[in-house]
Amino acid sequence: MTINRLGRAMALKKEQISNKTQGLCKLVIDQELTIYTIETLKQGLSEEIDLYDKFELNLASVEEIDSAGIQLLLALRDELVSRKKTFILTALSSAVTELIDLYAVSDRLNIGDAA
Amino acid sequence: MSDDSLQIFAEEAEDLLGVAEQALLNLDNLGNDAETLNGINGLFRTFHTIKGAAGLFGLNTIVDFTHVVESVLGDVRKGTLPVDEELVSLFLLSRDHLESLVSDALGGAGSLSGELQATDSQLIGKLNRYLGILPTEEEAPVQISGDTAQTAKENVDGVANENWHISLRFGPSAFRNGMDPSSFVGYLKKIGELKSVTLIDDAIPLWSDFDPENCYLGFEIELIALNTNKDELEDVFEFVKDDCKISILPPHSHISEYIKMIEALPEEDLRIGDILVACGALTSLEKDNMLNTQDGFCDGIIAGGHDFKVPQLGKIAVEEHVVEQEVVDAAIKKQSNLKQQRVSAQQTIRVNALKLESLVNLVGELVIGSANSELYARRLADADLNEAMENLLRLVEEVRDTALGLRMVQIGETFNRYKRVVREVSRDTGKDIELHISGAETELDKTLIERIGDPLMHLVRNAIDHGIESPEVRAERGKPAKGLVRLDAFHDSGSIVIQITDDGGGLSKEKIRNKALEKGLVQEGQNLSDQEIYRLIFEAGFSTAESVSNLSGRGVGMDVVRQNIESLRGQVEIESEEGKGSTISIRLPLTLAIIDGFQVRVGEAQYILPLDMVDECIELNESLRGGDDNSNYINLRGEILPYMYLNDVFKAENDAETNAKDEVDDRHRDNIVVVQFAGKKAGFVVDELLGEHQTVIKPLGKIFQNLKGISGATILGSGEVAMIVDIPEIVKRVINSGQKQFVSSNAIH
Repeated sequence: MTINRLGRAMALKKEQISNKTQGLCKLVIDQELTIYTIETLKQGLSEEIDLYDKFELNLASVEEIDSAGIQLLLALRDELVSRKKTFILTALSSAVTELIDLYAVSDRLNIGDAA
Repeated sequence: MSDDSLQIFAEEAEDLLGVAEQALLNLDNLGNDAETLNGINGLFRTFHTIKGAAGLFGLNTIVDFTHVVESVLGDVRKGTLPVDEELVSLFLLSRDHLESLVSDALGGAGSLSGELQATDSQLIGKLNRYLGILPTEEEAPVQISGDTAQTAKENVDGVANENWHISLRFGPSAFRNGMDPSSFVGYLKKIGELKSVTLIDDAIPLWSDFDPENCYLGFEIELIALNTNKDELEDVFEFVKDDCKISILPPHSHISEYIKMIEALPEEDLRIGDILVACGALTSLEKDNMLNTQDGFCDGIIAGGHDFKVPQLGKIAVEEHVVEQEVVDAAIKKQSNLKQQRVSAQQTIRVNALKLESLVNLVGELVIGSANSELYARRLADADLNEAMENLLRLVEEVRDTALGLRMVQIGETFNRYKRVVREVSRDTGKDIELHISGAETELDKTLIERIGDPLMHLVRNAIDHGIESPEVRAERGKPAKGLVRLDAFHDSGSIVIQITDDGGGLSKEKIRNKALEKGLVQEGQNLSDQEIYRLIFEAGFSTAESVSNLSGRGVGMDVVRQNIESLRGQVEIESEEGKGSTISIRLPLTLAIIDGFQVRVGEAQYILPLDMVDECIELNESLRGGDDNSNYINLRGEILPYMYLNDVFKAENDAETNAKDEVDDRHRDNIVVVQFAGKKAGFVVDELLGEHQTVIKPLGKIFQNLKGISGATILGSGEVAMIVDIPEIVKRVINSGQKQFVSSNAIH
């Protein structure tokens, strides 16, 4: 676990069941998806993008999200789509749902159930 | 949206719709083209103003509907569409529908109820048929080539979008500076309703170049904000304006504003155009035309060297110039309208009716209180106090008159409502009828006006339906084909008289009499005066059934009309000549609250006679009586005046005493108060004349509602209660008893 520059706990966790052979990567974003954690999140995600084909992002425990967080999700989607990889958001917390609704971007982000 | 300003909009709209109705009804009667054109112009302006105001409040349904009406009117104005009766009717229906829409909006309902929606689309469909085009086409915005006037008009109107359009492009450092776009977007929710938010993420670079702490986001927002202005919206973005490109376009912005905005945006024009269409800022037609225009611009500039391109640029400029002129004109017109509105706003203020009511009540108490003070002041017989008291009383009287005057409204507005009724009824019955109104400026109490409306409506319908004959019959009788119904109002000795006159068939005494016999309302051989016969039509259950139609069967019956009028202390009278027409006169007291009274004493009791009806007071002596003690007449300067002891009427003392007084009481000086009502005079014998008294009418309780001869009570300065004599009722009684006596004495001689 790394510590970001603001001394917060690294917010990206890789679940154990992520399976390289099937190419499925299950990731959990914890607590914050904001400008304060965004840099480390991007780094963490960048490490995984090359390794897997399918991504599942569990957002159940995201208590705070801001526009930078949404922007990151959109950028990730663009990247994965361009590399013909799949990307799904699961278990949205209420904070995430609220912002997605405000920005009306739910149809741009692939939201669904965990595989 | 604040309810207050919405209320103001509703009131304004109501006024405007009233104006529109008048103008529409006038269209029917205008002979020459110039006047018609004038009327159409007025109508166009009226509807346009409503549309503008509704747009300001974001009342989209009203705007959409009015727009269609306006388009049809526009065609009429241009002369491409002739006005006929059917079209006027359609406009009238549209006007009514708008009225419903306005009250619906006032009710705060977000969407239309099924019924309204149905009417809405039905009327729009009908109106569109006149336009001869599909609804979407008529919204066509700027057209470079083509009808200049059309282009100009559409430009003045701007795009169809009724919402604010807010375009935001945040700078890269927005996040780092602690700005979160979501807080701004969220804050907009407090100003209005977010119709749509479109997040623009086109600027997000490839993942490898993506700096997640940079902001690449943009927004296109449609905001439904009724009560806001550009300044307020700009203030929202005050903190972020260094980090963000902001364009705020008010509802119905000029298309060129959109062009300017689009050109300033980093995204491709076509892409933005699509986004604007998707979020509802522009219609696709508007977008296409706009992009064409814009291409023209660009081509013109780029290919500036080529001659053939230059004219196009010039053309656009000319077009733009025309547009500007129109815009300026519209702006000037709007300003002068506002100025006029402000002037008239100073002339009238709207006051809550309850406030006025409580003022009138207070003035009533003040009058009673001052009468009380006056009484004690007189007892003290202090000259200074009495003088001060006199002064005070005079002022109280003025206050009273002014307070009552506040409630006075001209009857004209009510009369004008009947123009519509006449138009409709005459259409339904196939009769050609002209309504003639006079005395529209006559004022009477607001509550009276409200309560006389329905009975009057009924009488007007009756006059048309039963009174005026069909055109064929009229021709046979040698009358002009056009029937005439007159509504007159005027003041007459303390009352207001409203007359409904028609030049129709008149009442058939014979028919009424037979009907009454049939119904058992009169007995065979009963001698009835004309008046008595006519009055029979006001009896419950009386109707000349052969001529009942759905028109006058609607609403209230004639007996209810009479009841309504009598409950207002009013009287109905009918004059009629068979074959020539009839006149129904309604007499109403001027006010329901306070009157000038004449105070008299009869026995122990005190009574008030409405001063307006008191003609004179004379002493009753032998010479007047002409020696005949039993007659109920005196000779008043050669005129026969029936009289009656008020005592007899109210039986204030026992019969024996009354009789004694009746026979001989030489030492007692009887006074006769001569009263006049509806042209009839009668005398009341009273014991003492006490003089003028400001009378606050207190209605009698429910138990005494049907008491004849008393119209109310009042409290005297001393705290005693005095009854107010219902003069019309008693005059009737005096005259009747006089007539009977007259008839019987004739029989004897």
